Amino acid sequence: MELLDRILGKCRRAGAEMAEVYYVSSRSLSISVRNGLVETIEKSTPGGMAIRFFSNGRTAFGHTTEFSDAAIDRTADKLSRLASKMEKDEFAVLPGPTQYSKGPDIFGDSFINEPMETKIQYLINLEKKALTFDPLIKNSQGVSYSEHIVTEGLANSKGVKSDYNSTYYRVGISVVASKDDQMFPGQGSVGARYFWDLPSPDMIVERFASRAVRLIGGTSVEGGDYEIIFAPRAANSILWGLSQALNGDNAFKGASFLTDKKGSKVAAEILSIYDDALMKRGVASRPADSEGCASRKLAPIENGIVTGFMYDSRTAAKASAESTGSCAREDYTSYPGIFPSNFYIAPGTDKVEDVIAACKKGIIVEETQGWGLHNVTGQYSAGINGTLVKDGQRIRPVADVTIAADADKLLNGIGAICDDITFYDSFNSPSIMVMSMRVGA
Amino acid sequence: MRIDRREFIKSTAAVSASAAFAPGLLSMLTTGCSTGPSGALDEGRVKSILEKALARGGDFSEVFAEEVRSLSFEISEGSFSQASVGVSSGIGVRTVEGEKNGYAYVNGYDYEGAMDAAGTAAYIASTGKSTGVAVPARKAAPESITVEVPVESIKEERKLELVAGAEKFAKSFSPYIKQVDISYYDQVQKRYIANSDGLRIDNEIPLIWVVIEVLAEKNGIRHQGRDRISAHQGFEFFDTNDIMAAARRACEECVAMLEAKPSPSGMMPVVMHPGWGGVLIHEAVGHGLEGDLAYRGASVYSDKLGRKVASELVTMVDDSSWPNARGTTGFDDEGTIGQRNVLIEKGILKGFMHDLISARMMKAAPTGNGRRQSYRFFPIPRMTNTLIDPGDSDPAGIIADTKKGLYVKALSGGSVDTVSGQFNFVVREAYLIENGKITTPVSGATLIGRGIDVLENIDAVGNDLSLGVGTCGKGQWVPVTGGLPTVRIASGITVGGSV
Repeated sequence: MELLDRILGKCRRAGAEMAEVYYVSSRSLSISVRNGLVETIEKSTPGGMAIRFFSNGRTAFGHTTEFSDAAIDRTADKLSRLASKMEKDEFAVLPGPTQYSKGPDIFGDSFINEPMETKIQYLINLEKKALTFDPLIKNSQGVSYSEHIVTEGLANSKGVKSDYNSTYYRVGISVVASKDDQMFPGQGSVGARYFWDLPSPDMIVERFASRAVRLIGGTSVEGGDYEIIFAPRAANSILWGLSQALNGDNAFKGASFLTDKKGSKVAAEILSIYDDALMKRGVASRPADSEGCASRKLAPIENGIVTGFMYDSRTAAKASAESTGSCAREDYTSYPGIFPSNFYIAPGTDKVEDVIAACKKGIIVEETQGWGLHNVTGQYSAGINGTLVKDGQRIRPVADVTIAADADKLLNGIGAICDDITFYDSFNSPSIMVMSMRVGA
Repeated sequence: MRIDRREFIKSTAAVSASAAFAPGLLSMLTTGCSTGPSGALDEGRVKSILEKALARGGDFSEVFAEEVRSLSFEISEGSFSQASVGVSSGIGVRTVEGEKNGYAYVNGYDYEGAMDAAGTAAYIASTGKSTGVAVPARKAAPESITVEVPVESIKEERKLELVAGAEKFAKSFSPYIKQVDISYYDQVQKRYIANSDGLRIDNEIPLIWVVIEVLAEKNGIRHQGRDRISAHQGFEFFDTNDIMAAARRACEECVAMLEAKPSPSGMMPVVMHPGWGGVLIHEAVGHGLEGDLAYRGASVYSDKLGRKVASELVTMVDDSSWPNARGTTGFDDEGTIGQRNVLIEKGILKGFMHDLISARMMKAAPTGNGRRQSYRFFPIPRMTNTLIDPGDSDPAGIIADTKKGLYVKALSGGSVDTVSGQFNFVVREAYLIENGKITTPVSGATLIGRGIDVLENIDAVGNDLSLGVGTCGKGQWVPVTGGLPTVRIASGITVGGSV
């Protein structure tokens, strides 16, 4: 923190009337195992620093991995020069100090300190379970483990100071099911702040390998309108577009199909979208956002109605709104922008098996390929893999077809939201049913 | 090779102790100031690092040092914002044994840190056998990337002016244009590679990347148009790549698409416009020809070498030596000199794209496709400039000869699952072809299919090859081009529209 103050001082000397310093330093380890043998061990210490420099209402941004006094002076001078070339930005603001709520518990357990042998054995065991899960699973492309311990700090010249540590674990598997001359992948990964919050190896294998077994050998169906049941992972193809459409900057610029829709009903009443940066142990939780605004839980869509958009300070100033604590950085090299935290479709009470049992003619969609819901046009289109359902019975795997609908038909057509949500990613959804979409075959 | 258990316990202790806590910012401050990667590492130090990385054995060890200096800015809502400068430097150390990679890196040119990294990388090896560190032999970098006017010699004002001109043009193009965002990025990357086989090679290459996005709106219908221009070249790039022309293409796209009808759905002939349509072969076929997937049996093409996998009209090439193109490397990130690799010749699968490991695993020669995003990553087989060689057909004739189908002018991008061969593309600009004529614009389509079906069903290849620029992600990002002449895919592609 003392150091951040020193850097802010250097910026002031170079002519900044406002400045912000962000740094991240971390230690990461990743291990992958394939066919019982360690394939890669990767150890790294990613880290760097970013400065936002404001002078005469003009802004410049810089990032660096060079931290000597001389290098920081050079960067500050460069930023001063660059800022002078920019135009005045009347919305260039930095937040002032604020109270942060008690942390969302993201500095997790000490599994990180376990010896490497434990982690390798865990992977060998996980891969063995995956390869013996079903006779159709014949090939492993590897299983992987990664751990990260991260320190992030932020200070600005208005007195904001935030500083926190976090841990993050991720485990992935990638196996291949083969049948006749077809292959289908069973792959995916799960993340958590606490290693022991991850699903058990058996559950990880069930989650990803079973999908390959279910979906292999899929064929096309007759084109036409079908009921679509999105499995949790496939529903991400809707969530991503929604997160972009609810981004306050996109909405302000008109690059969102939800522009002008604040206060309007855009979806079935059972649909609510939450963005909860304070979720306990959430993989994308953060006590403060990337410019030091306090985190909170948002409900940008509630009971089908758009209640508001997600803002950082600058976009909020433009749109005469308040920051929603939604400022984020991909890493220290990227300009701060608007990005959700734990973004999810609020679970309902339906059981997915009941929804399937009630389905006359539909497809359970487990994988999607392509954009999904487009945030500008509001059109949904994707290639899919899934299971054909007739009269409540699973009939056979489906592949080589597309599903499409416009946003109105898609979102207002949501007929059921199930209770089967999990939180191993930053975007999560339960299974949801859409009454009718066009299937192209 | 199974790792000996006792060995493991012994060497893990040290590693896990240092992994306990993230380093404080203070320890990062010791990193000195930069003199460029080759200046920071003298031969004695390089030798020590390479030797330490082979302490437990291994086939070879490698040092990759890099420094990237970048400048970017964006014009949005009529004013310049998001000006940014960046410096990123570091050293990655790798030990390879069989198909195993041990990798670690350090930020900055920190010799002590690089020695630590070597200790970590060494950990992957277990045989205790290595051939040691060979006498260094400097290799000359090829001249496939040329610079007349260094980007860093051009004043920011001139770059801003260039972009402002394009923005003004785009804004006045049509009353329906509501937003114009143009981002400009340039960087200079210095690379230095040394390995225990004696390889020493280094160079300095620029990259220019301009993205133009325009948003048009009419009666509540919105469309976003885009064009991008990029090359590894000096600032003279703009003499032959007109930023105004790029702005015009983005504007024409989004204004045309305001009149679009919802796309039809189902299987139909597809004619691809030349250029970034090359992402079609990049995704549909290219990834399946990357050596790491091939030797793991995770590609539909794994066992098809020498067999017919495409129409005989198709000759597919990955060419990392194409002068100054966005995918050009000069030499790859393991020091292998770039070249033109014929992957499919007249429909027959001739070879895969390799890095050093996959080449050895498949008993083939390295092809110069070992690439990495930065010193933070170890190299893997990647595409560079991937294209279909031009054929004999007249592009206008191909369209005139198509009774009914979809003309795809612009794609956002796509992806593929190499295991099942299923790919998809998101269409940005497309038109119906009716009785040999391009007619109504249609929107909202995704194209899906399987690579082998698509290649086998290419029944016309135009004589109008051009390259489109993009960025490819496979766990790490690298700049690429996709090249395509006008081609017709008679069947095998399903169009996912909503009517």
